[in-house]
Amino acid sequence: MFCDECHINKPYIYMVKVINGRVLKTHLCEDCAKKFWDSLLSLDEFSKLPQFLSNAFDPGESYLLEDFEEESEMTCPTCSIKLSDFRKSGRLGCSDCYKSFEKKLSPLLKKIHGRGEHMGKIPSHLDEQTRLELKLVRLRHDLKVCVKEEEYERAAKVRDEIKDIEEHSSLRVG
Amino acid sequence: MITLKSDFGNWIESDSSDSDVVVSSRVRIARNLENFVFPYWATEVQLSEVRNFISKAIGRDQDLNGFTLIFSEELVPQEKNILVEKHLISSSFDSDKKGLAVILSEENSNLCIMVNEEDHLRIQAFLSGFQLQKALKIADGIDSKLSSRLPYAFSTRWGYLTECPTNIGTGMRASVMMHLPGLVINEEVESLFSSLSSSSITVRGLFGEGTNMAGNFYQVSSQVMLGKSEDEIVDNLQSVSKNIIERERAARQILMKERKIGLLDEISRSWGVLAHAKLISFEEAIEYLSMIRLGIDLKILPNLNRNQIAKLMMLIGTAHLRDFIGKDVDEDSESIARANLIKRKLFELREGTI
Repeated sequence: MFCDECHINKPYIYMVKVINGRVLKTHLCEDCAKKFWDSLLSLDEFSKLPQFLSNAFDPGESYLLEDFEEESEMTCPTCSIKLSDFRKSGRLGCSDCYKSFEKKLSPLLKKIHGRGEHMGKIPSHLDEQTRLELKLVRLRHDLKVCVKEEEYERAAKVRDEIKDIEEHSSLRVG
Repeated sequence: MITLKSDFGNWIESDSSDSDVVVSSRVRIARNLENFVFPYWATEVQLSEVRNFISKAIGRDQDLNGFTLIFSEELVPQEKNILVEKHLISSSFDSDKKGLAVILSEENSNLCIMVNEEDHLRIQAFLSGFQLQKALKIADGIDSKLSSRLPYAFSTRWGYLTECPTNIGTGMRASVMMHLPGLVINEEVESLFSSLSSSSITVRGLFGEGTNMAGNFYQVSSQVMLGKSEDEIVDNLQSVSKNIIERERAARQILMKERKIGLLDEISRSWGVLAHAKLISFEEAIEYLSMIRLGIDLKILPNLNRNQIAKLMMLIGTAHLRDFIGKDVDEDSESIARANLIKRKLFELREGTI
């Protein structure tokens, strides 16, 4: 089987488009899939994004999640926004929506942002335990980078730091 | 006391590094509060609650003295448009809606915070020339101060949480406004931008749309929000921008070598139109001012200063112009006023030169 777009490479993703209730199934190779996503993400502008998301979630032309509909009546207990409201507008109701709709949002967030975890700034109101958890995530990430770049001396230091935190805080998960 | 007229938001300072290509640098940070509904879904009462909460937090902090909070209800559309043309707030800031606010700093005219625009807080630092690190430092500094006073919505997995899920993570976007006439004239701009598609950078024209791009001004912005730190994102944009700066300079050198007379002709004609037009639209004026700016950069037009041209580009925006002539005018009178203003300013600037 070959990619439906270039007819050269082997398929890498299987995409389902629903246009006015008609289901179109497409197999795309890695390159063509990337081009497709880039074409969507090139719309990426701070202000125009809700529009893009709303289009992506539009029931008439939904690229992203075929099983979205059945759970669109899910409601966030904090702000009472329904999942279907988000689908229509591309805007969430409050920060708790990320938890309330986690199961449905996670795949979308991964598609938009890739596999990465937050590596940026941390707000000052976080408790010590959460700070240490975040530090561990980052140190483990650093360790991978050090090993990949064959910087074994630095890797050893990072490993010791991880061990130190784990031993002193009973944070052995992950 | 802050006035919204010409003395505020003078981000166009004296010459800074690489300002032959980079007009301005901007860092924008999106933040939201826990337990408050995001602006899009909030009622006017809920918006006012957020605004009061933020206003109290700022009032309590000694370090945050010197900030002025202007409620959207107090801002007339004309003043809002002035702030938009100064690039301090975005055009989507809806001053007709109650419960929004703009926070301006008396000390630092490069800083602006929008309350209840798309997110509860949008902190923005805007500097002239190529000063991304400094812009990050200013925006980050104010964010840290606010962070100690406000319960920011944050998840360990997804970072700072925003109304639109595309902005989660750092919530930060960095961008530079670039003037790329060399690459446009040499028809290299398309290939440059397609080569950028893999570097997590987006580019768009600043004035006009699609092929009707006016004045060769482009905005180059960071795209990544998650998986990288703020410093890494800014460093990446910085190095991509440096590469574009070098390519633009090389393109200008080629132009000077291979079609100098053509270039001189175009710059002189631009001067001619600007100095003699009776009616001129904003887009047309930007087109010609772009060539004047290039003439200054290439030392074809000596004794002129590119910051003065940058200022002029701001002054001929509709809102500034209306403020300047002091009344609401129709399109024709606006074009007449614009042509007159440009003519006068150019002759003022050129005094003593050929």
